[in-house]
Amino acid sequence: MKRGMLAIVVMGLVVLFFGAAIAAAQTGPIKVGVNSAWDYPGGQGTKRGAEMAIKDLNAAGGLLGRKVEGIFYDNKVDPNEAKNATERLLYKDKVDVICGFWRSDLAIVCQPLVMEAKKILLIGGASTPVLTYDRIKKDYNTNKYTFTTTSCTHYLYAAQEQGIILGLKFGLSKIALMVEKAAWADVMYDYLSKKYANKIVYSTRFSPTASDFSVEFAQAKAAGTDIVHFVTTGRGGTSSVKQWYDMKIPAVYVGYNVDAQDPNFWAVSEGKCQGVVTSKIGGVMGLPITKKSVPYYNDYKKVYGEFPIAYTNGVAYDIVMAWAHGVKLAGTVETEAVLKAMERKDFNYEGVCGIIEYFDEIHNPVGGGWGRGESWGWVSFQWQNGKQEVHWPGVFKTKDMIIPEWVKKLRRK
Amino acid sequence: MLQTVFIFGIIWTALYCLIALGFSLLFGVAQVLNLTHGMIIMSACYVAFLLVTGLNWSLGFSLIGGVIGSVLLILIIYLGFVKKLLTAPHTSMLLLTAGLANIIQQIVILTVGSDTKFVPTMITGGTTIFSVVLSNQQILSVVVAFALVTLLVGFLQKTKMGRAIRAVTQDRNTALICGINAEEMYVVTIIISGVLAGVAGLLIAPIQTVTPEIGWEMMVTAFTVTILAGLGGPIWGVVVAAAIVAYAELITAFLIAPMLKEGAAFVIMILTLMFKPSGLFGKGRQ
Repeated sequence: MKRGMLAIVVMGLVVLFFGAAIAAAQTGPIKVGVNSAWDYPGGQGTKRGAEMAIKDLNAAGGLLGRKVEGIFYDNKVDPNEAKNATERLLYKDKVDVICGFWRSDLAIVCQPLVMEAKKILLIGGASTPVLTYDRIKKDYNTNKYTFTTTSCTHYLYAAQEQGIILGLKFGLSKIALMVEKAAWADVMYDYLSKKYANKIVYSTRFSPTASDFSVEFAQAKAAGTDIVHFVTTGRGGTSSVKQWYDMKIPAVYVGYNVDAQDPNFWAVSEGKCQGVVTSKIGGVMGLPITKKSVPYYNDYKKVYGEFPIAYTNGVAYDIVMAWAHGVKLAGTVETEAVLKAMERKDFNYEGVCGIIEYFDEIHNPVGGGWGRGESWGWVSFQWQNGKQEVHWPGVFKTKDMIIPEWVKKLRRK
Repeated sequence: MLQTVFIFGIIWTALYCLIALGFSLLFGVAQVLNLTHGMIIMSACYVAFLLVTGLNWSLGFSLIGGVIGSVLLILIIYLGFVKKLLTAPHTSMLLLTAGLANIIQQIVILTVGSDTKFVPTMITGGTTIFSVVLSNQQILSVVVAFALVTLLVGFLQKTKMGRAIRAVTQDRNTALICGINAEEMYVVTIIISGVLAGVAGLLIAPIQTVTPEIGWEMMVTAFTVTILAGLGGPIWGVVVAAAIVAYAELITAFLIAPMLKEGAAFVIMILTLMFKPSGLFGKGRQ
């Protein structure tokens, strides 16, 4: 009898203990793990985007009545650091969701760890198709927990190609393709190489750490180039623009230059970026892509004292807020339920970079940012007299693309 | 294409000379294989950047600040660490300076960050030479580099102190018997090395970009040029070696692929170590 009583008491205590633990887990803070690199503009954008999202969620009373807590790890753009940080977030901090990953190479390495743990992975910056087309499409069951706001889709191609399309309309016809050697850029490079095969007079790949392009520009000039399509997310963004200007390359500079997305790029480049065309997800400062865009960036400036430098900020904010929207739809942070909610065709989240009507089969956002119901977030713009002037898509156009005067003069000669 | 390679070659030779001279000179005089040399070049860029952007100093004063900063840094390294190991084997010096270089790099990352910084261009615009358009900043680099080489040669050949430095380079013990204060000559050489490193950084920074990684990149260039010239070789040997490395990289870039140009420098370094370890103009040391 005594033994039976003891067993009942022990069982009661066990039930109480686990009950309390489960209750604490359901009423304690919801944990958002952030894995990025603070010291780089792209990584800093991701971190601050997540911080802003967490701030806004808590200001609105939290998520499902619970406080949202951010746990941040700096991966220093090192794959091993990124893997360690991911494992710490998953198994030590026991986060509910992981976001970050501005760099594709790090996202490729860490995605399997998060998928194995069956947690939602929110990609805020990386755009390699490996994460989506290669993994989600080919092995949905394993990789279905990954969602992105920046994936490598035809929207990205369309935005980055605008400079070439408009350049051709000006009567320019000889293209130099200068693209960094990085996983995310391979697809773009192959696509443009095939599409403009008969117009490309010079083509090269360079290291993302390169910062001297004098040889490449000299070769492009010797080939008679009149459109330089320059793609870089690395160290060469600013130096390439300066060298294009200083070496008087008689060609328009278009493509994708992350440095040129910085609202301060006019000053950084000493005004040499006049006429430079680049593209950006999330629009440019002051552009009302959605009703949330301008208030968000103004609020960001109040918090950090400056506008965000890289595109990663808006997309990181949106992917965290979209996940929170999914949590609200699901009524829980439990992974499978949130996954189902985020896959709903009536998902309909309005962010700062655009409207996510739903996530498609590879968990890319599909939205109505342009009022066409098919694109999401990208704009192509040109630096003109110190301002970022949008020329694509038409619905957000502020000015037509121009050819810089000094390029015109050189071409007349 | 030939004239482009020729003109660019002159520019790259000048820049590589600037990067390697201080390193080579210091080894020649004090037998110090200073692997912090690249970090000193990098530090000059960061000091100038911080003075321009953080304290709003004029560009001219910021550049002077950058050179002073690099001299102070190399003096701290020498007096605080290197001096104690002057008589130790080269491997000890290599390990010490490699460790210090990593510490300097980490301090820069922790205090200023890893992202790319930009030092404003000293003179804007471009000039056409033999139908090749060069930025005026590149031309300035060539002029300053060759002016410094000429000044350095003149200083070492024509002044009493320069002759004393050469005497210490040739035979430290005999120089001591002749009453030359070798320690004093080491300090003078350290200061010259710091000035050369500082100027190199400040001339290169506006052309390219400034990140903590450039320290090791500069070090590899300095090491390759110095090994090819021969450790402790003459100054003109450094100029010739810089030209060989520069033109090898350029020809690789033009004929094979621009991405492989750094590879040419490594091939030169490996070939030199394999077939002529004393370098082209070295004193037979290996």
